[in-house]
Amino acid sequence: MGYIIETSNLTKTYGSKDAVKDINIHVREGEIYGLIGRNGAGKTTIMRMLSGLSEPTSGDYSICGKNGKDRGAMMKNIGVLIENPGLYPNLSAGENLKIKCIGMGIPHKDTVKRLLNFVGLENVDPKKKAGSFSLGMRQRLGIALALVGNPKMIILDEPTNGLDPQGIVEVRRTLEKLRDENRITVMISSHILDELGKIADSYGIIHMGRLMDEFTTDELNERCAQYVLMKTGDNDTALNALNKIGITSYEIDKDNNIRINEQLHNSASMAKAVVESETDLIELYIRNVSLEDYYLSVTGGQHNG
Amino acid sequence: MDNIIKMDFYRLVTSKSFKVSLLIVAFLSFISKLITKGIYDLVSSLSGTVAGDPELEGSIPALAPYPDTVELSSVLCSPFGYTILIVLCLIIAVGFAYSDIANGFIKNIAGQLPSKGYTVISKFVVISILNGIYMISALISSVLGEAVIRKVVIDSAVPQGICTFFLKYLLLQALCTIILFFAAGIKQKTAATVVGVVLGSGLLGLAYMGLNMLVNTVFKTDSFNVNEYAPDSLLISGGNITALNALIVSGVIIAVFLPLTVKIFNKTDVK
Repeated sequence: MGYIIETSNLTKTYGSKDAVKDINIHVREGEIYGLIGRNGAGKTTIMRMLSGLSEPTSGDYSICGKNGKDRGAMMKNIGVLIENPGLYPNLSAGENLKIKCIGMGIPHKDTVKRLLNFVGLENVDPKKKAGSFSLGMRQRLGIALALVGNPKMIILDEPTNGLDPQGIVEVRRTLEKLRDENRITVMISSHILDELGKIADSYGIIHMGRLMDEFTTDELNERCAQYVLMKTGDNDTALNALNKIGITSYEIDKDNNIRINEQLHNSASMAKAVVESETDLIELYIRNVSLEDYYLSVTGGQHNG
Repeated sequence: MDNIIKMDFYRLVTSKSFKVSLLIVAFLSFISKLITKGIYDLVSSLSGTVAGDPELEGSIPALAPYPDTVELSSVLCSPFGYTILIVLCLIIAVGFAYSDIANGFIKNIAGQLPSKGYTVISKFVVISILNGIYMISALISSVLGEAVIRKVVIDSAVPQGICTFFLKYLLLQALCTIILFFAAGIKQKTAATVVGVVLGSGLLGLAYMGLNMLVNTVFKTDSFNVNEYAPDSLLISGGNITALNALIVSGVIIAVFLPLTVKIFNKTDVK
């Protein structure tokens, strides 16, 4: 599977400050790529450049394999929703879509109807102005606008911002439908890592303008294997007992819990060994490292997302 | 490119501001002729009263009767009855050029074009169509207004009048290009509006007068007149204008400001 977007040392400088520096991102065709980072990390700057709304200070990027001057013709394949949806508030959803259809040179009648259906706005009063839409409706109309012209990829910056749980689920379902039914690549940034973790196939972690890590879901799972977390009355006694049943890969975390990284299927034996060692077994969990845990470990624990 | 122009034209003709402003231009152009006649008749009647007053007799000269005919060429030379209509055209141009930037709609499309600057060129083209519609509407309404009060004569100077009409169209387009620079290039709607009001209403007239005095004093001449080169003065001027000056001035302004606006728009981020 080829890369639909690939960047090469992409850098954007405002004055003397590097907003992002030497970014090398690889987005595969047909996947959902999650861009993670705290406020001001540089996610929007990257997305703006990839959307053609901002010029890189240095570096380059390719769209569908074309870069430099050849890239211009490929830009029609990228639909965008950056920050707030850009809508004419005095026009209806259909009229907003119609304007973009005319701009893209595509027949508007069927396209408008299809897109309104796709984002679930088909039952909205056709005369209702976009200015009176709820935030969720505006976001869905923004996604519909990004989809005008059947782009191969859409770039969505915080599309779930300000949405209620129902709205978030709706956006998630829409994105899954785009990937699974329409084979559209999606690049998305979101503060809600848990939600992102449910749909993304690949991730890029941006921190202070740098790409700290880039990985697939499979790679994340490999790196974030399960572990057993044990809280005991006396860790020395408990560890002696665990050693006797062959547990040697463990660590003590900052809360003085024992974290065991092996023989996870033997948690019952571990519990039995500790209890029989005559120390208290206060708690025992089998846990996964979440995307959020991994993000925090990569960025040094600062999480504002 | 043609699709973007179609898109901008569609959003222009479907906007309320366009329809309302077109009605205002047509109505004011029509009514201005009737008002002018009304004011003339009022002043004439006052001068008659004065003439009958032994103390004031002779202080206001009696006016000649309002002409029964008007040449079409003179209407062609000044299609806009009031300078406020020029201001209106420029303000509508500001609103049109800035609306998609203000509501962010431009983000939906600018990045998908081979060059973001296409959006600026498209606005320039649509504003030129807009100006044509305004000027033709003003002209037709003015002729109708004149026809109500007196006879409109098609005279031998009509070709020259058409030429002046076209030159004024170019000058209006030149002013709109300056407006486009402020509204879409540096994205300053307030500045664009102020520039539109100042240029459209002829507020720079005093400054031009001062400049004339300064230049004529310094260079010991009395032939310099900046009004012959200023696009706003040339546009507002009621009669024939020097064709070469108008062509060069409008041509230079468009040739400088349009590429500059495109370049700046391409360089800056779309937000």
